[in-house]
Amino acid sequence: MARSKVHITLQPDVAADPARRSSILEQIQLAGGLTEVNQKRFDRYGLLTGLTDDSAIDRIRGIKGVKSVEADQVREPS
Amino acid sequence: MITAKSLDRNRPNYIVVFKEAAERNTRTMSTLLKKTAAAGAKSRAERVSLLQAGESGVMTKIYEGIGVAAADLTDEQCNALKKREDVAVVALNQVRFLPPTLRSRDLADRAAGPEPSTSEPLQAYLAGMRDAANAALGFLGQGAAPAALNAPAVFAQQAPQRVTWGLRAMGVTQISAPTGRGVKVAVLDTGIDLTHRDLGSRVMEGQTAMSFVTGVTVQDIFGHGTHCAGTVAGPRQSVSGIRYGVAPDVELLVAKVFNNRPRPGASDDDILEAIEWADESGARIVSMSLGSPRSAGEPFSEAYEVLAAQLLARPSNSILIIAAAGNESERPFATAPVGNPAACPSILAVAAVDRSLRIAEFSCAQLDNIGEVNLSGPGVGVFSATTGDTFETLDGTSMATPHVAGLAALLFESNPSLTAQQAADRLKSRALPLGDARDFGAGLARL
Repeated sequence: MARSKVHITLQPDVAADPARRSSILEQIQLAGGLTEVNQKRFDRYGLLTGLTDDSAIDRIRGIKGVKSVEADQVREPS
Repeated sequence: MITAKSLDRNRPNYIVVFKEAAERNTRTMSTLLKKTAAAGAKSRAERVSLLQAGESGVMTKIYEGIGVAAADLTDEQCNALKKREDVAVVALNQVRFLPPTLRSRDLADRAAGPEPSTSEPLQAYLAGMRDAANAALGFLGQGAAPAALNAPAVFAQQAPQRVTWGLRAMGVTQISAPTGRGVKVAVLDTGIDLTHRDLGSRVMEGQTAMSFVTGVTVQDIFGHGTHCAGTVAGPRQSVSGIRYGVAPDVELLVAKVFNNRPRPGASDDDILEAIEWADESGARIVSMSLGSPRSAGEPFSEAYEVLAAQLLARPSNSILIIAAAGNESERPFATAPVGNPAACPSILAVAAVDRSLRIAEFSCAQLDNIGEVNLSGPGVGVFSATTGDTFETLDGTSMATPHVAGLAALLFESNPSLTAQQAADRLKSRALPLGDARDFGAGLARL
């Protein structure tokens, strides 16, 4: 099963509430088995970065309180 | 080094800088001095009007094209002019001298632009003085940027140093007061040439220069990052003999986010981590000359936006993130939309203009309601530092971006209490409108 690095953003009201943040993190883990999570970024900005199965991405997108799920992209010098 | 002294008495003793370049300036001076125009005195080509000489034997010259007059004034006349709303500055006329060491330099200087022709050095000097006066007024918070700057005034050659066309176009001069002192600017790019005589000593590897790419050092092997860092922070006196750094006294932070592959790439994760590092290191500005193409209608990156929005809106230590709009256009045949992450609403997107202040053929534009162009900067024929302790001239919105980042640093130095949002607003309000906002945003960023 292919795994990809993704960036998950939360709805602002969820991101601002530590209890809801914690709860949604559990739901995301259940849905996608996220590994190598950057916890600091999550606590500061409600931005969750980690590795997940490609098949789980749509499930994570469907979680209430999740705003977006983006694949990590490569940028170039402009 | 610039030295100055008062002019001798066969020259005007004051320089009057009007807020606008207009023909009415001649009437103003004529009425005040009670002098009529000297016969056959107006030159259409130079747009200079002459008024008859007074007791001192000195003629008054009004440079209508640049909104400057050189006149011999009494104290009373000087005070009367200072009270006028259409006058920005009345200043003593001074002469500035080129240090001999710089005069002898003769580098191939495509970037520094043409020297003024022998027929226009005084006009160029006066225009430069007006820019300097505006900079001084801006520093004092009096916002004197003229409403009607025209291209010749914008490109005024500053007295008398070699300065790139980009800096001159933005009103940055060798005598500009703010230099970015005390402001930290982070450049996220291919690293920096640690051996470069202009820049190497400005950062310390592992402290103010960090690599976020596994297995590679911060040393730049492409030149792109060195070029961008140079545009932000190149020294006032470069070993090249040409000033190319907008804010020579900034505290430079360099984050290497690109790998060293033949076609370098930077992952979002490393870039986001570098932004966080910049934040923890006290940066007020993050300059990102990077991106990826975006189709019209494709959303902006939420991952960047969530970070940028919070950093921008923070009540203290807010951070302004500036990014390149992208180079995917092929004008006049095709225009491409602003890429990511520049398309994010909380990131300032910068387009590129050439030395004629036309939009660069490659510069991306606003083609949807998602990715706006916010400002323009010099991005064609940009001279700056590169790897191998040398210099080169490059094109790209990458080159325009650090110009605006450096300018933001000058703003923060002059107004340390500004929030990042206020700085962004001020950059936009001071910009020189150049045309269609979808191409240029608010226009060319100006001091």
